[in-house]
Amino acid sequence: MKISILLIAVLSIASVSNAQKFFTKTGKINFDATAPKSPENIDGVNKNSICVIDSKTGELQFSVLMKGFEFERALMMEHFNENYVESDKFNKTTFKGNITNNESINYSKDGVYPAKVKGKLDMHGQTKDIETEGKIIIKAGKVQVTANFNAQFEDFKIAIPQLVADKVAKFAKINVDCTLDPLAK
Amino acid sequence: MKRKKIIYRIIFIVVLLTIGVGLYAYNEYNRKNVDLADAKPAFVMSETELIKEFSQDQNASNKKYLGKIMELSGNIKKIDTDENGFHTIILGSSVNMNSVRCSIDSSFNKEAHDLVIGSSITIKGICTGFNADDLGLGSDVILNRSIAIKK
Repeated sequence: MKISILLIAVLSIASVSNAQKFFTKTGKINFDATAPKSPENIDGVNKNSICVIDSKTGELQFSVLMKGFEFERALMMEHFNENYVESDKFNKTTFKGNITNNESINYSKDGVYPAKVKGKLDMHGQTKDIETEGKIIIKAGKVQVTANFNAQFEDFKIAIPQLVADKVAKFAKINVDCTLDPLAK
Repeated sequence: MKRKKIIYRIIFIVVLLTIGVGLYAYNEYNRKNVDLADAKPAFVMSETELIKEFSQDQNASNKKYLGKIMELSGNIKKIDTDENGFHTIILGSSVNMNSVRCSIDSSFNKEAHDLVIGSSITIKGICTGFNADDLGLGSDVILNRSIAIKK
């Protein structure tokens, strides 16, 4: 009797922590393209990025609506949308990749795991291979993903006019911070 | 004498113009995002109508709605709160995977706390885009900087 209760308890816990897929629709991605000597910050944040991780295969996907970036200044937002990323034409940026050291991450045990990610970033109609290191933090059944990497504007055919070259850097520092919930089947 | 007067006038006009252009540039540079509480919506409709349009023709709907101020009525299906305390109100019905996700403006975050799931609401926000159901999570229309309005 006792054993069967124990068994049920163990099984139910196991089934909770064994969710294979994790997702969020409120992931945060922000970028900073401030040139070293710029008097003002050129940055924006997107608070409704989609992120999905398959814990079995290590597959990782992001989908970000370009119009969802928020800026402090309205003018900056308009320039960002109209001149740089052309969000009317290219309204979504996606990343599809893999956690290459997925086997060393135990998704059912709390902890901080370094993660290596490799994949393709599709932005502004251009696709580019990205390789970066980040962290996967497992806590109470949730998966937090953090990573930083740089995206060179040149690689994505985003032209920065000479006029603002002293303010806008040649690349954007991209900062990912998403907390994923297990996907209920 | 007459010549001097003309020169003074020209200088005066040039100074006035410089100040005008300067002021315009300054204001333009410091312009904040539109305050949605006072802004007039470009479209007034129900949440289901908007999702239907986006699901039927994404490209046409993108052209029509992106960046526009929307006033949507619907039922609160769920309220998501992230670790920083930001709320997202999800409009839709529980039988349907599709929904409108309204990311709440920080100015309205406190009030959003008291909203009741299942109640009907009218929300004003900026249409940010559509995530089709390509990851098996249901498709969503996203509204940014949303606030609830009283009818």
